[in-house]
Amino acid sequence: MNNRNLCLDLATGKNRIRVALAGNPNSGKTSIFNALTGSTQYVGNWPGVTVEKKSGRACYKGQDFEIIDLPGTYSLSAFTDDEVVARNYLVKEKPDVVVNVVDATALEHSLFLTLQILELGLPTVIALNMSDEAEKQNIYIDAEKLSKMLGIPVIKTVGLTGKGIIELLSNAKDVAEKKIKSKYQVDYGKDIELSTKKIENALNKSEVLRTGYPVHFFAHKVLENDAQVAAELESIEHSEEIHTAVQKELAWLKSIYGNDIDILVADKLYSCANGITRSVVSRGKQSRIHFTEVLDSILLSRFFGVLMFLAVLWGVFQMTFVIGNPIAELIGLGLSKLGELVSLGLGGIPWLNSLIVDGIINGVGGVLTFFPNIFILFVFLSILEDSGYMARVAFLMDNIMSRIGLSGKAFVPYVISFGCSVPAVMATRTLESKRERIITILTAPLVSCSSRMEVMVFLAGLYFGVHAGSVAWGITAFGILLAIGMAKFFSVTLFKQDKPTPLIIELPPYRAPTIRSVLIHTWDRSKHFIKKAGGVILVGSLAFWALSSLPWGTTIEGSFIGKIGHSLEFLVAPLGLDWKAVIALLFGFIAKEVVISVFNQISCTCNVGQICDWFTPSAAIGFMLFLNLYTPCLATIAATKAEAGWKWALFQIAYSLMLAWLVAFAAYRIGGLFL
Amino acid sequence: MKTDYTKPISDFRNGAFVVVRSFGCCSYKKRLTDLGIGVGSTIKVIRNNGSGPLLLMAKGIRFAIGRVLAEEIICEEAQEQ
Repeated sequence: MNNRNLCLDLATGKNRIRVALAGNPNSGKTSIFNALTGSTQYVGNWPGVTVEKKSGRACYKGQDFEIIDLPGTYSLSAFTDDEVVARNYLVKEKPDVVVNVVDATALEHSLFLTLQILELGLPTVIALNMSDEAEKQNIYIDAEKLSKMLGIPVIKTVGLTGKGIIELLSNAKDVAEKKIKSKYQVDYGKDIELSTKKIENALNKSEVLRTGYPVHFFAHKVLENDAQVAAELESIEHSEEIHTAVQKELAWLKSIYGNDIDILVADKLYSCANGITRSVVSRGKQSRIHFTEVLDSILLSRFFGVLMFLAVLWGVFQMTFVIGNPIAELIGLGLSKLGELVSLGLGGIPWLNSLIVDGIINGVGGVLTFFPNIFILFVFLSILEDSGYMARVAFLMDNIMSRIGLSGKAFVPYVISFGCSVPAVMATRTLESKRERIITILTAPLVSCSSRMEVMVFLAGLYFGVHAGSVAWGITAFGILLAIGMAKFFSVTLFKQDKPTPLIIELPPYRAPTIRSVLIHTWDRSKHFIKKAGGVILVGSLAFWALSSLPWGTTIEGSFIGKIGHSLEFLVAPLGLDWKAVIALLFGFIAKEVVISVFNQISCTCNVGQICDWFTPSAAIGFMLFLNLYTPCLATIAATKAEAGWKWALFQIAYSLMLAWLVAFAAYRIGGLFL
Repeated sequence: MKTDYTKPISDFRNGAFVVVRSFGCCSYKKRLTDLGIGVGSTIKVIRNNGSGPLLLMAKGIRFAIGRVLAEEIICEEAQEQ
């Protein structure tokens, strides 16, 4: 079994069969993908959109397979990014075989997508997944009959246990080689078929085929006024003839059926799906009340549900720090020992020693000591997601979020931001509209992440003694309020033309997450995080090391960074701050926890007195507010750039700097009256 | 005559079985139809808290639908489930 994932002798890829996995969200597609590909998964992005592209390899009897996991969709109508990606892949790239994962517990729903896939005329196999779960619910599906009706193989699978996977591969190979396509025809009724035929005849067939679409399918979509196909039509045909033919047919159909031909088509598809379902499914007695219903009746209730959510949240963060902090300390200890060792060996060459110890080890350490917490947070996020609870969070929070122009789905990134803003920004890709994604990316980082909280606690401790806790709490709470306020502000200013996206989300049945899939998810996320944060922080730390230690041998005040600090002092002077604050803020741009070591370094090398004498209390509050609000950190900006592009990354830097300055100024002036 | 009994799905209580009769809005009509919440489909209202989104069961799948959108789904009580 071990060699199932790789066919080494066929690494050239010559005879490789390309398999596209298509299916509804929550149909168990991911578990089938995991069972097929094991450890050979590769996660990337589909070109042009921030939709995750997963691919992997499988091997069966010496045959090499490349498995491409298409985004889970309910339809191929090209409304959402996911649907566009899935359809374009099937139409343009023409995989050798499509494996359509069908949820046996909701056959009619799944067949809606299946019938659309079959219309594309590609060799297809159906994986009738979660058949064990269906039988538990007394739903019996006659797979053989379904296979006969559709004219393609139907294999019963259980993704979680790997049941049926071998059979699936052998059938996929067979279907790909013999090019077995379904002969099933959806009955759209006489009128639609007649119009389709007429448009088909008017179309230039060879031109259409070049777009990748089957002619019949293309003609059909023209009638549905499908945006993607309409664009294709513009690009290939300019003859008046085709336009008048389309207009004529549309006018005729609309006179009979009203305006919504696309809905009529969807209705026909569903009635076919319903017909098939009726003839292949036999239901036993309705089983007793479902486990999910019972759990939902508690977890989704108006008051208790929210209470439970807060408890879960508290638990997750508690566990994250309880488990993560000791590991982080251990890594920190290891790194300082490593530093000492290096100093022993390189003590004779001070600049090299400083470069490796202060520059590299410190820089890498900044990421490494932080990583255990992030990793554990990722583990819990994966568990919450795989169990189906995350979708419930969207349900619970939709009411509140809709007041600031976002949907409940957008709440998740704000929660993650308490841990770290980088995965928070990464998490926005599950949001449907660009409007919602951008607003969330811009405002979620205003929620203090754990490293900013660390700095708050440090500074509050220095300046406010017994009141430190309340001050740190107040500043964090203010950040949350500001995130809410700014989200509302952006949704009525920058995005006032776009309507808020209503919440539409499936709440899948609760499932016990498997260790395997939790680990795979956590690993994916960690890799992303390390790639994004690691490089940026290392390079940034090195740059700042150079700036603060050159010219060689001076104090920080005399170094390049000290000079920069002095020359930019005028910017923070109105806030009651000086060059030392400028340096801290510049360093904090890389990663917020660096601020602590900067302060320590300045105070011990410059002989400028105790840190707590530097600023007045009101200026200190202003400084902490500034730190909490301005540009989250280099890694977050890198994440924003990846998710939304340079324009928004720069905007994020600019707006958060302005916001932080204004808030700090107000705090300094108002605070000055009382403190 | 049946129109007398139609109202937004957001006005039905927990556990009601309803049939979709029409949509008040246009932009999400096709999307909802794709999800199995099209005109003529039987939907179970699993949870309606009175505010916030609704939890619906359509063809064996549970969907949470925001209230503003739910107010545009016009339904009538199903004769039988």
